[in-house]
Amino acid sequence: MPPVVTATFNGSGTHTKNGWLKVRFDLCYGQGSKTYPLHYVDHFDREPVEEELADEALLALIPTHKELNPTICHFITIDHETTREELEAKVREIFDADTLSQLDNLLSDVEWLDAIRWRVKEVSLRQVVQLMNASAKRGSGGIVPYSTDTKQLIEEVNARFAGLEVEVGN
Amino acid sequence: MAIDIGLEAINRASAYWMSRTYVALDNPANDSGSINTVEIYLSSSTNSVTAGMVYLVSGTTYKVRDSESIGDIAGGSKQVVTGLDIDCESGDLIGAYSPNYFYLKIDGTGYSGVRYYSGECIDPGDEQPFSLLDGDGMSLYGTGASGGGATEKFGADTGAGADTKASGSPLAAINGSETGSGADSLPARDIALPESGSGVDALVSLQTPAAKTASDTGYGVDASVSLQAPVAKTASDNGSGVEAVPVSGAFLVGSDSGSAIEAFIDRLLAAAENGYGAEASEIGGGGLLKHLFASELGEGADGLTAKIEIPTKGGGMRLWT
Repeated sequence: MPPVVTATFNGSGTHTKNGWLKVRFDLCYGQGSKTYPLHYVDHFDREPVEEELADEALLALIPTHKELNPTICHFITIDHETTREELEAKVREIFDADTLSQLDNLLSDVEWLDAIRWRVKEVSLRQVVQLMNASAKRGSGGIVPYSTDTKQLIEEVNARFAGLEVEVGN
Repeated sequence: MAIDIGLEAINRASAYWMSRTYVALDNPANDSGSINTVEIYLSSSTNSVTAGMVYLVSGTTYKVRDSESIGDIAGGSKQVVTGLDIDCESGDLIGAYSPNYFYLKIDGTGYSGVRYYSGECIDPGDEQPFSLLDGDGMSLYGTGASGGGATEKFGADTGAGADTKASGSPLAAINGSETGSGADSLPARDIALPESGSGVDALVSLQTPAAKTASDTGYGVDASVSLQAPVAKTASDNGSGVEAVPVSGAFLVGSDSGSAIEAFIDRLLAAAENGYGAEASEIGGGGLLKHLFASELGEGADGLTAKIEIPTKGGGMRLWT
């Protein structure tokens, strides 16, 4: 059974750039994928205080838990009138089964620097960059009207897509 | 060509945590273009991160060329952010800012250092003096592609390098006083009458010949064009060069002497004219009769053709035989 891969709308990334509206989706690979072990990592149970941040010995004492980080965060340009259904369809189109397979293979192609440090091989990273920055993966949309209140637009967009989580690749 | 900037985003020995704008001095951009992917490694999740391209203005003052918000970033593993579009020039440095605790992973020795500003300096155009963290190296890396869109050019720009190529599609509007050069001269140009045109411009002007008046002398292609629309000439025009060819007929008054090519064209000669040279030859060929009166003696060809003599003997009038 193939691993579950979810693309989750992340409202912290919504912004305009040169008049284009962009939204972010975080791609998380579930158990059974090649990248899962690399991104299922420790997180602090609470926010450290400054004394702990300044002293790594103290920081290490803070209890932790495991969380799954995104394997990749991807920005998609959309029209400011894009609906939730349209965006979901676009996400499915961008993260098709072939793309998901390639990303999992490339981003797990790592070499270990020591017991805890790893790096994705440069040749594989270049392929990821090439794959995800192709025009078909970047989305499209009209320029946001000049008179638009950007802050208000971002709030509207985040409300429109709040909680949007698409199980992709199937 | 691929661009890369900054140090690889790996788990490093230590981490920053203060809210600052950090700029990595290692590995400046190797070319100009757009950074579309940022890789970052944080020790803990960080809110509202913005990544940007920064360059040295003077001394320790750095200025932001371009930046893009990438949002909240998870800590504990390398994060790859794609779909960005951050302008970058060769030699630029990569930087980032978070308004909260910024848990950027670093190594404290063995690198070119990290510059920091204690506050936000990441919006395009922002400019601040930065302090140095000598020997530091941080896990922030950008990749992208060289080049970019066509540069909008104005008529006064001569264009150079890639710009001359890029400007070939959007036609440059050139005013009468501009001569145009390089790619600007290639596309169709609207040329006003006062413009002389040159090179390709001159060729284009053949398709839309300039209207010429009789007082224009014309030269080069203009003169050639004038062949298609002969110039009406008055008796006082002498005609010359190609203009002389299409003249339909010069009307010479009695006092005109006529010369050269005008003499070949159908001229009406008044009785008082003697005709000579080519005129005489034309008459001799029978193409045109010259009316001779009794008092004229005629000579040369005139004498050969239609000379009439009054009989001197016999009665009445009869033709001499």
